[in-house]
Amino acid sequence: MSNFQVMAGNDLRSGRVVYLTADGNWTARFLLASQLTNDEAVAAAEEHASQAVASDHVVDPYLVNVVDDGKPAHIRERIRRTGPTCLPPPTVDHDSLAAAASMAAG
Amino acid sequence: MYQYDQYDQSLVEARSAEFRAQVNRRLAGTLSEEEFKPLRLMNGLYLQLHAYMLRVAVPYGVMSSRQMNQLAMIADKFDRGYGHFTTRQNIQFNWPQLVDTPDILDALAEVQMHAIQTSGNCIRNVTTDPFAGVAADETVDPRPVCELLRQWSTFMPEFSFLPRKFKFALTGASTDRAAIKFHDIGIHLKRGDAGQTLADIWVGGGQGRTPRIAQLLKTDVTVADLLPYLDAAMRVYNLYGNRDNKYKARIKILVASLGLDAFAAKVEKEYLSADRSRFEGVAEELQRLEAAILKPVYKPQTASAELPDDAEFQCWLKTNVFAHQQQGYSIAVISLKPIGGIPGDATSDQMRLMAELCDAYSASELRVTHRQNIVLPHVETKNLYEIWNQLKAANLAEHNIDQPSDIIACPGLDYCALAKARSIPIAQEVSAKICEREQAKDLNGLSINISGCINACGHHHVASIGILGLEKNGAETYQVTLGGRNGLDASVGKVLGPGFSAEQVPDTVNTLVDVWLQHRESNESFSDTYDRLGKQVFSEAVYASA
Ligand code: SF4
Repeated sequence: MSNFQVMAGNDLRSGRVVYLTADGNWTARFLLASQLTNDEAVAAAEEHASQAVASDHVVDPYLVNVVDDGKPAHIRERIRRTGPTCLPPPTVDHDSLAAAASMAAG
Repeated sequence: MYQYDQYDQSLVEARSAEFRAQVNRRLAGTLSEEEFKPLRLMNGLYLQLHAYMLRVAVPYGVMSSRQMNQLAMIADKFDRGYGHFTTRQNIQFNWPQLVDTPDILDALAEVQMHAIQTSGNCIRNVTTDPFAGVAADETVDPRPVCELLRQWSTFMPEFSFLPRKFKFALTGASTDRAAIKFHDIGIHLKRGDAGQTLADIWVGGGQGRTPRIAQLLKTDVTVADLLPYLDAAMRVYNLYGNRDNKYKARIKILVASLGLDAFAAKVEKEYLSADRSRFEGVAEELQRLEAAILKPVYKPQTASAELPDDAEFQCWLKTNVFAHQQQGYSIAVISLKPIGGIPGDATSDQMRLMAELCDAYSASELRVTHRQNIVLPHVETKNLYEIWNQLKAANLAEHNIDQPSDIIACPGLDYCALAKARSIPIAQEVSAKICEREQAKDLNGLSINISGCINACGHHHVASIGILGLEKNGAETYQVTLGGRNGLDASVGKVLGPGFSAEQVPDTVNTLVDVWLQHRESNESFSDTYDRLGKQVFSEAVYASA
C-alpha cells in the first residue's frame, strides 16, 4: 500500500528526472516533491502535469507510489530517484580541470 | 579502414542539420513529443530511466583513433566523462541533454560518425568479427561486404519501416566471433574452389523472449548475387512479417511459422523475379570498397620477438593476445571488464589512452567487440610489453578475455527504462567472486552473461551460465540458464529452475562452477559437461545448498 503519491516526469531540455512541487514547479529533488495524499491532490497534479506537457516543459509524467519509509514503493522508482546504484567510473571534474588550466595559463 | 567519400560526408552532415532543426522546433513547441519521439529515435536518442541516452553507431565495430578521441571529447563536454560500449559494437552515452544533441551529432559528423539507424524498425548497425582482416583463421575479410551492406541499408526507404528491427552479422573466419547464428541474418563468407568469395546465408536467429538459432537459408551465394538475394529475403520479411504483435514481428518468428523451406521458396521467387537493374554497379562498388579498406603496411619482421618473463604480463599474453595473419604481428584485446567494475564502460581518459596506443602501435585503428572489449588489431609483437605497461597504468590491463570474469552485461535497471532488474551490480559481484578461481585454475570454456530483462541485450541465452533479471512481486529476481554457446556450434541455454535473489547469484554461480570442475573431463567446456551430464546434477547441487 502506498502512503502517498508524487508526480514524476522528465525535463524536456535536459531529460533529467523531475518531480512536481506543491507550488506547481518541477524539481530534481525528490524530497521537495508534493506529497499527493488524496484524490483532489492527485487530480490537481495530473492537471499540472498535462499543462507542463502541453507547454513543452516536461515529458512522460506519471504518478509514483511512495511507501512508509518515504521512498518510492517500486525498485525502479527508487533507482530513478537516486541514480545508478553501481559506481560509474570516476567522472571528469570540469571545475578543477578549468582551474588547473587557468593556473597554468596564469 | 573505410574513409567517407563526399557523398557519405554530406549525407551525415545533412542529417545532423535536419535534426538540429527538429530539436529547435521541439524546444519551440511546434513539434509535440508524440511527433518528435520517432524523429529522435531515428537519430539514436532514447529517453531512459534517468536521462536521454545517445547510441552512436560504430559501423561493424571499426574505429579510428581520431574517432575514439572525439568520443572522449563528447564524453567530457556533453556527458559525464564516460561511455558504455555495447554488445552491438556501438557506444552509448548515458547523460546527454536534448539541447546538446545537435552539437554532438555535428561533432560525430566531423569524424565520419553518426547515430543513424541505431534505433527503430530498420536495418541496424551491421556487426562482424572484431578480428576481421587480421585473424589468423580468416579466409575472407568481411569488411568490404559489411561496408556494402551499410551503404545499401542506410536510409533505404523500402526497409525503413520493417515489421521490427533487423540485424546482420558477418564472419569470414572458421571461429565465429560475431555470433552469426543469433542474428536475423548471419553471413558466413568463405572461399570457393577457384578462390572466389562465396556466402552461406543463415536466417531467423535471435535472442530476446524467443531465442532461436538461425537456419541455413542458402549456401554458396556468389558475391554478385549476394545483395540481390539479401534484398529478396528482406522483401519477403517486409511483406509477410507480423505487424500486429511486436513479440511476433521478428523474422525468426516468420521463418518458424512458415517453415524454412516455404520461406526459402518465397525468397527464391522474389529473387528470380527482381529487377536486376537495381543492382547495377554493385560488383564495381564492392571492388572499390575492397581497395578502399586498406590494410596497413606491415613491416617485415626479421627475428621473433623476445618478450619479458614478467608473470603478470605473461598471463595477459595468454588470454588477451591472439594470432595475427601477419608474421611478427599480434592482435591485442583490451579488457573493459575490470574485476568488480562495470562491463563495457570506459572513461574519457581511458578512451584517449586507447587512441594514443593505437596511434603509436596499431596503425591508428581500433575495434569494438560484441563482448564489450576493445581490440588493437595491428600490433607488432615486440611492442606488446610496452602496450601492456601503459594499459596497466590506466587500469585497462585485466587479463581475462574469454574468461569467466569477461562478463557481458547490459545496462539493466541502473540505466534502462525497459529493465526488470539490475545487471551491472550482479556482474560486479560475480566477477569479484570468480576472479580468484580463474587465476588459480584453468576455467577456459566458461562464459557468464547477464541481461536485465527478457530482451536479452546481455546475451544471457548464449552463455554457459546465463543470468536473466526478472521481477517477482515487485522485487528483482534472477533466472539462471545453462549450456548456451554463441559460435558455429550455437546452442540456447536451458532454465535451471526457480529464480534466485541478487544476493544468492554469486554463490549459485560458484556452486555451478564447483559441479563443472568436479565432473569436467580433460579441458571440456562448461556447456559440453552440461550436455553430457544433463541438468539434474547441477540443479541438485544448487537447490540443495540454496
Ligand atoms: S536486456 Fe532489457 S534491461 Fe538490458 S539493455 Fe536490453 S532492454 Fe534494457
